[in-house]
Amino acid sequence: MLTHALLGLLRCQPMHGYDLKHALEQALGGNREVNFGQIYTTLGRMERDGWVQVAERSEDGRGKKTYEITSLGQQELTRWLSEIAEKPAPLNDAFFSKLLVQRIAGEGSPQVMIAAQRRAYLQQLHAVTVLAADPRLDPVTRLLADGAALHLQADLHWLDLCEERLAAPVND
Amino acid sequence: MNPPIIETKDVWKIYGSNGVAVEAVRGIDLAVQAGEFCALVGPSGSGKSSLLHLLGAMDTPSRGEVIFAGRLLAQLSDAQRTDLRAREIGFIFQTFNLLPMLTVWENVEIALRLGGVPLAERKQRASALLAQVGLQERARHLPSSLSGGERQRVAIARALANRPRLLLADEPTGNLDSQNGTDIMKMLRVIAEGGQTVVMVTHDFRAASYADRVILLRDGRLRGETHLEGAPDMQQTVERLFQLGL
Amino acid sequence: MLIDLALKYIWRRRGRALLTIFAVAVMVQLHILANSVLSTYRQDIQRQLAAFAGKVLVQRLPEDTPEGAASGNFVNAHSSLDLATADALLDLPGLDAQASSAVLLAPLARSPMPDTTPALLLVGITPGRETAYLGVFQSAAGALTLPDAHSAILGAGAAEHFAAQPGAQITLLGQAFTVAGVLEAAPSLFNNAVLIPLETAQALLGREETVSAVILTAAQVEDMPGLQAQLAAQYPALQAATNEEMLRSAGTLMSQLDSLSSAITATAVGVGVVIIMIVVVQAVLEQRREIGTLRAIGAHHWRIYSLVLSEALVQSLLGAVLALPIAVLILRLAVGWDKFTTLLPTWLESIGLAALIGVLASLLPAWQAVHINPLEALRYE
Repeated sequence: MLTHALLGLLRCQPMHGYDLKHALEQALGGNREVNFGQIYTTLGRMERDGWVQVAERSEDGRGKKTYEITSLGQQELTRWLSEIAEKPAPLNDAFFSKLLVQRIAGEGSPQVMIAAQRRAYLQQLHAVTVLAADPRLDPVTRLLADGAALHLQADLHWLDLCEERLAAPVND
Repeated sequence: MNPPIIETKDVWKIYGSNGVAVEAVRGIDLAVQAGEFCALVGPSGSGKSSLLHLLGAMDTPSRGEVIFAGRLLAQLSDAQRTDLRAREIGFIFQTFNLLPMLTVWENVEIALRLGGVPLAERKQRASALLAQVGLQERARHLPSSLSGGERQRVAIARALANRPRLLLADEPTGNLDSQNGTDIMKMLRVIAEGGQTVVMVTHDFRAASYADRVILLRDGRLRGETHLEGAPDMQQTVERLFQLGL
Repeated sequence: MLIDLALKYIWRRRGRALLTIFAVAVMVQLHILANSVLSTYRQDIQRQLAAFAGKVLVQRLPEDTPEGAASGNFVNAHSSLDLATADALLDLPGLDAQASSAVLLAPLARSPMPDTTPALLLVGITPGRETAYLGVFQSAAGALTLPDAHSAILGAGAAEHFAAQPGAQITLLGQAFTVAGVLEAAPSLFNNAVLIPLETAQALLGREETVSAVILTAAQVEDMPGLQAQLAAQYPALQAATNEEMLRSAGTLMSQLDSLSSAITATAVGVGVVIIMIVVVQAVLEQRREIGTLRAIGAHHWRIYSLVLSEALVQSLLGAVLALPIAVLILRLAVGWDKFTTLLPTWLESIGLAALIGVLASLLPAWQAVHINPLEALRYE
């Protein structure tokens, strides 16, 4: 994603590495620091692929490069944006794997595992709900928190189903 | 351990309609301690509202006992149960149930009146309660001119009017958008932290996550519970949120 | 109490409430109207009878009273006594001669109501003995004596009819008379009377040989029973009416009037109760959810009852208040009544009647209201 974020930023105006780092951090609502080295490595790879090119090199001897997007880079950005985003495989759920293994191994209790998991989900849900409702926070963070809250609620409902179908008493 | 403020012992509620008996509550044992913030969570039809009505002396169980502060509800007269609802139990409804002809202030005042508070004190306390829920500016408005969140805040002020020992909330966020819902939950959280016992019924895990104790209900029975304590680590949560594919 | 809430509920459906109040007002004014008119009528009869205290009206009524004669149904006008009998009667011992006289009665204008005093009644009486007829009533203007053959004394109603004052000329049966005096306001038998000398009356009516009746006044009230006994023994063919006998027959009429007025009042109350009950039952249905809420947050049964009772009472009492101007208006427009002060006692009484209407009308809706199950009332949106 970093590659395409940089392409997006350069599409607006040519920038050098340091500007790109700041612009990216601002777009993320100031919640996360982006590694400077990672940006340079990525820019180098993009230059090699012909998606960006050096527009200007500063004269002050440190040789700071200003990058601009190429038409090839523009094509790549357009293609990526129009492409459907892929979700991780829906069944790739760490807790579900544990439940499966528990059944196979016959060790531990699904009820206990589910209760512990539920507690963790509820605590996380509380945290993201508080964040999502905090008017002092930037809209990006709140939007992400709302998304996380919806996922966690789905997870909690799914835990209920797991409990009902896997952990129900078998004596009837 | 102190005796619980409200307790049920093998309580059942069976509704009979045309020969078909519906078991809404099926043998629930529950004890809520004073000062607890307890959420009863379950899908619709899990019997959670029926249970809440039994706890609130609004309904009588088909079997079993409900004990409020050491008093067996079944042994109280209708008038005594009414007194209990007026003075010791506050109710918050999903649909707010404010009296539409009365202003915000009057809606709170009437609860004080039902609680037998003298007029002079009523005036001062109704205003103080509205200030507590941040609606003193809206005192003279009719409920119809208020947003859902504001109406529920009036309902909370009304429920708190007679300083009840137990506050019962039936899907308090059910008719609210998420922002207003969160505001109401924060308010209930503050009330609970002030030492008031709160028992809330909800199907919404977001609302339930504000409670100290989350009890799961399904098909009229309890299905386990979870204790949540301590404030969440916000910094850690923010970091986890930004585990994007960067 | 929840009276403020009751007022707001009434205000919420004020159009309906206004109609209800108006309907109750019409019912209550029916009671006011009937009772005022009937009680005035009753007082008139009683004063008339009182004016006859200590007197005996001796007359001979025909075996069968002619129906629908020109004289209307004023039966006294059909009585006829010959002069000899009249003179003999007046010679009976123990009489107050000044207050005893032969009279000739003739209706000049019919009353619109049967069995009542004619609207204009000619009374021929021996001059100097006018008090035999006029009794205790005083003069409003002029003298209550007949100075000559063509003079007349008018009752207040008769004076109004002729628009005549003492000294004015009036014409009766083609003969001119000078008004000597006018009587104060009195019961209709006096109010409508035109007194002229007996002989003039006999000549005008062509009844020189007979009179209608003889009015005898006992010198002492305690002589009355003796006088009556004597009359019964000596003149079995004559009818001697004392005010006691008249009271007896009037009693039947008055008890009929009483039943009529009770029936009207009962109808007014009944219809009033039904109107308010319908409106309040409907109101309770509409307030179901709010009453459920009140019960849920701790309102006792008595508070719910007070709410419903207040709604019924406010409407019935306002109806009673509004009934007075309506009654005044109707009386004024329909019968030109101006004795409005007579309405006040009935009106005050009708406030109590309205309270009764309110209480009775609230019983059924209040029963429904206190039996509202808060859970059921709150379950539906």
